[in-house]
Amino acid sequence: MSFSADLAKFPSATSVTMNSEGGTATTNLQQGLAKVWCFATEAAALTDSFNMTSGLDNGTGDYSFTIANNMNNATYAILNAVYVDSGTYPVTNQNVAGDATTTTLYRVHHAWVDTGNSFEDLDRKNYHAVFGDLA
Amino acid sequence: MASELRVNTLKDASGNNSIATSVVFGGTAKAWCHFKGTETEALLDSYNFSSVDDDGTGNYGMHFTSNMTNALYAFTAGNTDDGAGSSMYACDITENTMATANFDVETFYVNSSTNRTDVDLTEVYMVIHGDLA
Repeated sequence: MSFSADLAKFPSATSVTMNSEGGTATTNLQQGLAKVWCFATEAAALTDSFNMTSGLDNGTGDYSFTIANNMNNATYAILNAVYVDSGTYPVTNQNVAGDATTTTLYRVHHAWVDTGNSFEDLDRKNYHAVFGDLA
Repeated sequence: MASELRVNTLKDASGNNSIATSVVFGGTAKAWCHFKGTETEALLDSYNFSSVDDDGTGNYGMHFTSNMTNALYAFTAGNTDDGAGSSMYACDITENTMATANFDVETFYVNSSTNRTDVDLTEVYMVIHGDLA
């Protein structure tokens, strides 16, 4: 059997362990990899992504994203950032709607506070990464 | 049966998409977690975090299982909005608390009438990149 054939079995191993940079510990490769990421437009269209099926625009500042290969549970970690393309939005942020998170979907909410302390929902580009266990 | 591979470069089955193993190792997150920050704090899911402790309203201590090699690691985070439609919530590192074994974070909100105010959040997410000890 060839080396490449042997290597093809590699992903089926239970886990892949790597030595740490400092040499005193090990770390698990699968646990350290992002399982989903995306760059999506203000309308939730996926400009670039990994392991994501689609985005859905639910209304102003309200988006849902569907994962292609399911997560193992709904307790994964979701990192997100929001894009601001002008100086008129001094404080912007994006939060996860935690109650909506499932193994196949998560929902986020964009908003901003302006210099006059007005709070409003906001349509902006999406940047996300998900860490956790795949099903 | 455990086996060991010693390679400098990884490619896909077609010989494309070459990547140095040093990039794979360096770019792999060394810790992540999803924790509950209300009532009794708890790690709901995690890798290389041993515990989270309650240091006061919106203040938490995060502890690694395997230490980092220095206190210069990168921290990224996310959180829920707890269903509130009129406030923005966030999480950041508490100044001067980063150490190889642990760090502290604060969760807070701002809205149209309130400046930054620490608050306990039901769900907080964080990921750590850097060098393990």
